[in-house]
Amino acid sequence: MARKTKEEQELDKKVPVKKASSKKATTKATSKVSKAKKSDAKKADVKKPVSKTTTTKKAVSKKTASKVDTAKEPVAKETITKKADKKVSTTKKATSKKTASKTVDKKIETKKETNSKKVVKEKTTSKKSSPKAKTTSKTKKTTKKAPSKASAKIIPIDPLEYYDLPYRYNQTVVKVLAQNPNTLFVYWDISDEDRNNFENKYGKDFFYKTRPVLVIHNLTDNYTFEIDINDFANNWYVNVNDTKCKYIVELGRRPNYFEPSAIPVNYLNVAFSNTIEIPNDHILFFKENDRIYFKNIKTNKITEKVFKKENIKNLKGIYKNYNLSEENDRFDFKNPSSQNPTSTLL
Amino acid sequence: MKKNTKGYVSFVLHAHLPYVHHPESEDYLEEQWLYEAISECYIPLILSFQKLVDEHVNFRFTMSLTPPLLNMLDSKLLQDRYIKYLEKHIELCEKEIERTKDNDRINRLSHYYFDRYSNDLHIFRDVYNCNLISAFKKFNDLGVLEIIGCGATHGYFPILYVNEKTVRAQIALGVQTYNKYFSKPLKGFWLPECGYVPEADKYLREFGVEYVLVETHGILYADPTPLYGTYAPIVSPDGVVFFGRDLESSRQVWSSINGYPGDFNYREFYRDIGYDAPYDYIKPYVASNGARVSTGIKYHRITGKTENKDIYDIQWAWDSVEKQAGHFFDCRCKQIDYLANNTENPPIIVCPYDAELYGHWWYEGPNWLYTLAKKVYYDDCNFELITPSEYIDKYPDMQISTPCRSSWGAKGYSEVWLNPSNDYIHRHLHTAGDRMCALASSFPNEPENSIKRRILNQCARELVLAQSSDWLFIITNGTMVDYAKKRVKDHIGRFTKFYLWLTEDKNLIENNKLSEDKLNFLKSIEEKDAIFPEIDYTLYC
Repeated sequence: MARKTKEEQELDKKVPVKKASSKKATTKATSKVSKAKKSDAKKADVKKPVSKTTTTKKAVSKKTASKVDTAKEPVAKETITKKADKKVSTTKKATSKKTASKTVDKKIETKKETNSKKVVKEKTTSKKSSPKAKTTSKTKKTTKKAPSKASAKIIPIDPLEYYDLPYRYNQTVVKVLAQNPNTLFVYWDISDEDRNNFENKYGKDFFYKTRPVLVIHNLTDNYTFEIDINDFANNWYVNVNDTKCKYIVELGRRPNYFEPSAIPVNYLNVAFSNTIEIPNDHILFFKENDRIYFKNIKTNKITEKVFKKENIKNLKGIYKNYNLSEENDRFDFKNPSSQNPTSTLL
Repeated sequence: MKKNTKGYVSFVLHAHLPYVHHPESEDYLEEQWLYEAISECYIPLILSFQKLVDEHVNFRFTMSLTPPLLNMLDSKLLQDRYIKYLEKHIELCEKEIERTKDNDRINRLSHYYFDRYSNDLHIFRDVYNCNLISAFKKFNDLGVLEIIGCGATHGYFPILYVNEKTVRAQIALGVQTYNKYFSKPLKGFWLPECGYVPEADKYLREFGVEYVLVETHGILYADPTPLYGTYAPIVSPDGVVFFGRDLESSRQVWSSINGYPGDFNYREFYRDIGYDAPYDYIKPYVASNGARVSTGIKYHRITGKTENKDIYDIQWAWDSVEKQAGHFFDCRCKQIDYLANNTENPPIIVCPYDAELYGHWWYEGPNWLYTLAKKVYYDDCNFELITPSEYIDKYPDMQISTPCRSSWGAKGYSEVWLNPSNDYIHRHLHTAGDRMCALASSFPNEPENSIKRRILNQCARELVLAQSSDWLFIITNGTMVDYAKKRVKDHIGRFTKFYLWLTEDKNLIENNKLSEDKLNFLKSIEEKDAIFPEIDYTLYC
């Protein structure tokens, strides 16, 4: 799926949604739990028919812009009637904004210079210049209908922003994080440039005749193992056995099982990750005659002690307070202490 | 009082809320987090501290006030809105007094809430002139309350440290914010979510942090093993001092079976007139879209494992507070008696909690703290309250050891902030962090007040706002998920937009000029994401 994307999809879309309705939608959305994926924010932000039309992809900006204009009049009415039970102020806002945007449209036509033109301008100029002409001509009609008193006061439009997270950044990257002492989280991406390099070197079907693998290097105990992943994923959770060790993960490619000689080599490196040390998960305890150092943090004086048998009694006296489990070096994490303000606040 | 001190107890309250600031609308429910926390937690805590001071009780508490919280408490907009919130509540209470006049027990509570919200208004507006930070500062200056710093936006270090500069910036901004509001030199630092990575030590030292707090196993699993467990601090090779959370005392408070907040006489959190009162009556006081939400006016007590809740009785609740403060007090005495035989220095029991536990979730919590502090001062016992920095001053000799990478989240590591529900976010945080550093090195010294500097500074704000651990947490937790996801998208989206301006807009890069619509956009975002007005993007150089 990654290979189909051509460039970073970082362009955000500005949606000239009416403030009042969108706000309402946001609070509504946030007040309930929804598991919906990608589209959730879209839904949350845009509930009214107007907004729906405006979120349609920028490719159809022509249509969009004109739709907005034509939809304006009826929707404005709809808001007034629908929100009759809502506060008067919000309705006022909605209407005034409507009229403001109309005035703005008019201005574009005449001057092309106005503070708050950005909505219309960006929308219309995003692809072609022809829609602009259409929009303005349409606007002309609507502005004619608009009550003249509205044009007296121009309220700058604060277009509701809408963003999607960039699908990818087109960089070759492998990053690894430690989820817990036994699980690494790895994510990766391969840039188009690197993909092309592989394809140029090993054939256009390079990514079909090879499979991706993650090679996990334990740098502390000095061993390596490999897991098969697939091209539909861009991240993976990897179980590891040894805690408190340094790991580095390598993204690589191997020929497919059914076509072992499709490429001239048995393994190709794509990229290395950062190095990470996975957390420790047990009490290390001492051996007899281990040296322990103490520091006076005011004077920086360091003193050395040797861990003797008689210290064990003390240590056991201390550590028996922690309800250690049978192995005697781990303790129970069912401590319901782990809270966060947001969990106690709502 | 003179006593035979064999050990110390140190309470650390962590006060944090994510930055929620929407000048564009008053309808965000999330804004109520702040107002509820002020009314139920921060003001009650301030009043408890004040009462102790007035009664000449010598006490010690430690408290972290995170930068987002400080920025919000300092926001004129939110201060005004909080007053509005109180006025609305007072109005509701007046109506409640009328509505409940036929039921004596409830009516008394209506009066109680009326008094309480009126008093909040008085304290907030008249006594502290809308500036609660000054209240905390006063106790900090008196030496009874030690305020400690926290990461800029509560960014979770074990995820961010892939790019260490972003961790350094979190620490730097946190310390700068502390220094802006408080005059005593900073001693301690709350690691967001107690998320510890040894890579952060050098930056903590760089910005003058003396000590931090970690979860129990951060100490127990340290290398080499600390001889005295969590009952004595340790110092890392880089020179940061670590205090570990005490297990026994935190379990006493939190246990789901017999934890203190579950006492049957305490106020029931989930029963609220926001849900119980007739809809048409309560509608003006709930969410703007008409959804029923908590109002904070709650008439019932926990009662027991039943849906049939009895009416809350303040006197009974206060009785339970006394009883439980006594229990906690006795348990610490016993614990210290035992421990003192096994440690070289008098043991320290460190009890970190979310500040919002006290008052918000556990309504009677601030009163419990007050009662306990008084008991420790007056009653015959073997321990005193202390702040971590005082303990360090008294007993500067400590074992050298590196704590274990850990957090105080469920299961003790990073699962809360890194799991399949939120792991799609991390790559964006990392990329934005890398890009911020790249921007800082391409524009290493933009002149003061230049447009590029403004954009770069706003980039830094968007980055740190996106890094808040709260969004990841909320997504895992499953409440208000849409809001959290939207916040991540907004901050990453805005960051990316500014980043593209700075890398692609020739007119901006070469002539330092911005088109008018872009300028307006920048202005609107500066107003919305107005955290850290003095931020300096060169932190990322």
